[in-house]
Amino acid sequence: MSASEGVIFNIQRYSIHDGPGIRTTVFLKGCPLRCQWCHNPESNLARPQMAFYDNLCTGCGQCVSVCPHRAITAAEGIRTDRRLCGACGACVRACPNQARELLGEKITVEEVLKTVLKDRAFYRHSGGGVTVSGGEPLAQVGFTAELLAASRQAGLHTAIETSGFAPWEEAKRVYQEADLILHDIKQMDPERHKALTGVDNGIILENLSRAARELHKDLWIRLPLIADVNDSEEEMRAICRFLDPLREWIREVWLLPYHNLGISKQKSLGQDTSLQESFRTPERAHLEMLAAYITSQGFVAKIG
Amino acid sequence: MEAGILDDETVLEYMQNYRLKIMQMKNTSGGQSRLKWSGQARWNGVTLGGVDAEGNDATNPLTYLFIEAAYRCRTPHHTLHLRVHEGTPRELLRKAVELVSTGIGMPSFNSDKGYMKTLMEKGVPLEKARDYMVMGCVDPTVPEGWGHVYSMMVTSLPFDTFLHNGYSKHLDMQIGPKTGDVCEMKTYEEFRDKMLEHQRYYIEYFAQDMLLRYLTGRKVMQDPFPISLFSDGVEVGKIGKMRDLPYGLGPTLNLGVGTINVGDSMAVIKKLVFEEKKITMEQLLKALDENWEGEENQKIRRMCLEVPKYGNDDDETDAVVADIYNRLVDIGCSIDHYRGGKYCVSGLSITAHDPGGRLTGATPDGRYAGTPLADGSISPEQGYDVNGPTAMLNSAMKMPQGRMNATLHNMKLHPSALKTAEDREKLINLIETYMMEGGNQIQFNVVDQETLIRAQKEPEKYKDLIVRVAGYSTYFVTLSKNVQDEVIGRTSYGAL
Repeated sequence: MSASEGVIFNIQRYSIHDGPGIRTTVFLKGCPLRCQWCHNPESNLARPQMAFYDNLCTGCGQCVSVCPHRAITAAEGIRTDRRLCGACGACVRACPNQARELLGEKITVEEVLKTVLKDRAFYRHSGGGVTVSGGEPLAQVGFTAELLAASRQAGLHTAIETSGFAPWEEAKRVYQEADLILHDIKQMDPERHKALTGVDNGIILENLSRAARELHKDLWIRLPLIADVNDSEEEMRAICRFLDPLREWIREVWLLPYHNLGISKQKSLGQDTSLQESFRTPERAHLEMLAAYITSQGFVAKIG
Repeated sequence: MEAGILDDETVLEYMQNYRLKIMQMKNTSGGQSRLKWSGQARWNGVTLGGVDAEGNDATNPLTYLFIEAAYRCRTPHHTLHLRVHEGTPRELLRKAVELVSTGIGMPSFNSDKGYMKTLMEKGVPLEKARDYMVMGCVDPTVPEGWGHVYSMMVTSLPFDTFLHNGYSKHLDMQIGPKTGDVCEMKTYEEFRDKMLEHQRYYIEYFAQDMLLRYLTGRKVMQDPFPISLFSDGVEVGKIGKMRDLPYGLGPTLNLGVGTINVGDSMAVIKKLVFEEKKITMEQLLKALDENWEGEENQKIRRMCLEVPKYGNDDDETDAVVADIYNRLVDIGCSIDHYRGGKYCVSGLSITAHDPGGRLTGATPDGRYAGTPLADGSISPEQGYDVNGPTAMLNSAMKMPQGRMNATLHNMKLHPSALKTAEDREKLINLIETYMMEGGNQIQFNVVDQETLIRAQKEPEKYKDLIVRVAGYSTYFVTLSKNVQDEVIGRTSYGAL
C-alpha cells in the first residue's frame, strides 16, 4: 500500500446518518462548490485553518505572545487578523480553554484506516462501515479511491457522500470503490444551480446518471432543502422525472432540511454570516408533503 | 391468562400498583450511608429476557408487560434488568430502548455471554448459569441465592495515602502502611507494585470489615423472607448467611469505586514521570497537595490532562487501566473469605463515587481534591471521553470484565440522539455489539433540558454529553452558544 496523503478535518465515529448501520465518516477538506447554505464551511478550503470559539475564550491572552505571525492582538478583546494567520497551530497549543482549534491535517490512508478499523466490531453487528464525506471526496480523487479500496480490502462496507462535481473519469475511479453512493441534488435548474453553488449542474447530473446506468451502484439521493429556495413541489417533480429512468438503483431519497449549524462555524472562521442567516428551515408539514409526493412516485423517501 | 381470568390490562394494573407499592417503602440510615446509597434505591429488581435452562430464548408476553408497566408508571423503582443474548428478539430490544428514551434509565442491559462466562468459571454448571438473575443493581446470583453482605471500597483513597507513604491529609494521620517514599522509586513497575502492596493492606482490612458485617447479619439481623423466594430456600430452611454458598461461590469484594481514577492517574504518572520525564514526582506531589492551585501547578495539571484518558480507545492508557484492574482483581480473589474459599471481585459504585471523592485528595488524572470520582466502575471519568460512544465502549471492552462478577457502566444520551426509529435501531446495534464483544452491563441516562442548561454554564463537566444537532449527533459542549440555545429551545418542545 502506498502512503498516499490527504487533507481531512474530522473523523467522526458512531456516525449514524451517513449510510446503513454504525459508521465512521471521514471528512475531507476542500470543495469546488460554494453552496450558500453550506453547513461545513470549514471544509471549503483545502488548506488548514484556525477556528476561534469566542464562547470558550476567557481573554487570558496566552495566544497573543506565542503567535509567530503577530496575528493576534488583545487591545480590544482577543482579535485575530485572518490575513496574517498562518494556521501554524501555536495559539491552539497555548490556549488553556480549547477556544482555538486547528482545522485540517495531512494524514495517510494507513493512519485513517487505523482509526476506522477500531470500530470493526460495531460495523459487523450493525451492517455499517466507512463513509468518505467532505468537503468533496472527489476533490482528492487519489486519496479517496485508495482509502475506499483499502477499506474494502479490510472487509468493510464503503460509501461516499458527494456533490458529484468532477470529470467522469475521476468520479468513476472513486465510485467503483464504493458500495453505496450518497449523491446530492441541490437544484435541477442549471442557472439557479450556478447562482446558488457557484457551479453548473450538468456534469453532476450526468455523473449521477452514469453511476447508476454504467456502474450499477446503489444510490441514496440527498436533497438539502432550504425554505423558498429549492423546496417547491415543482422542484420535486423535476427531481423525480430525472430519477425515474434510474429508479432501479435508487434505494432511498433523503430530504435534509436546512439547519443553521453553519452559522456558528462561519463565525469561528471569521466569515460573514448574513447570507446564511437569511435562510430558513422548511416547515415540517411541508417536508412531509414533499416526502409524500416522492413516495407517490415510487421512491423510498425519508426526512433526515 | 389462558383461562380468560386475566387480561393484559389487568396484569398491567397489578404491575403498576406494585411499582407504586415499592415506592412507598423507605429506609432510614445515617448521613454517610445516605451519601453512598443516595437515591433511595430499594434493590428490588426484575430480571427479564435471557435464556431458559436449555438455552432457548425465555422471552414471553409477561416480559413485554413488565416494560410496558414501567413505561406507563415511570417511577424510578423497581428497576428492570434485561438479559441480552444472541437470540433476544429485536422487538424486545425495541421496546426496551423505547423505555430508555423516556429517561428513566431502565432497563439496564446485561450480557448473558458475560455473566454466564463469569459464573461458569467459578464452577457453576451451565444449566444453573443459564438461570442466573440480577440482584441489587448489577450483581448476578444463582437460583439458590448468594447470601451477600455488601459494601464498597474506594480504591482512590489507598492510592492517595500511597503517594504520601501512608499518611492521610484528609484525616491528618498515618492510616496506611509505610510502603516507601514514592519520590525514591526508580521505575514505573516498582511504583505500581508498591502501590498494589499498599492497596492489598486496605483490601485485607476491607475483607475483615465484611466479616464483621456478616457476623452481625447472622446474629441480629436474621430475615428469613428473602431466602424463601429463592429456588430451594424453604427446603434448606436457613437464611442466606447461614447456609453454605452454592457451588463454592465466595462473597464479593467490591473494588470499583475510584478505580478508573487510579488507572488514569497511573497512566499519567507512567508517561509524564517515568517515561517522558517531563515532570518529577516531587513536582507532581506538590501540585496535588496544593490542589493544582497557582500558575505552575495549573501548567502541570494541563500536562496531566493531555495524557489520553480511559474511555477514548487509546491502547496505551487502556492497557495501564486494564493492568491495574487485573491486579486488583488478583488481590481480591486471593483473599480467604469467612465462609471458606476465596473472595470474588465486583465493580460498582452506587453513589459512593461522591462521598469517596470527598475523602480523596487531588489525583494525577487532573481531578481536584474532594470532587466526585468516576461513576459506575467501567464508566470513564465524567467528561473525559471525547471520541464518541464506540471509542468509549472499545475502552470498556478492554477491561477484564469477565473476571468480575459485575461491572457498572453509565452512558449519557440526550433525547434527541434517540429521536427517530432509525436512531433507536442504531443504539440497539451499539448495545448488541457491547453485549457480544466483552461488555457485561450498560445503562443509559437520557438527559433533560435542565442538564443542558447546566452543561452550557459548566461545559468542563459535560464534555461527554451527546446531543443530536441536525442530521447527526455530536457533543453538546463543542457547539457554540447560539446552537446550544437552539438545541435547548428545541428540546423544550419534547424531541420524543
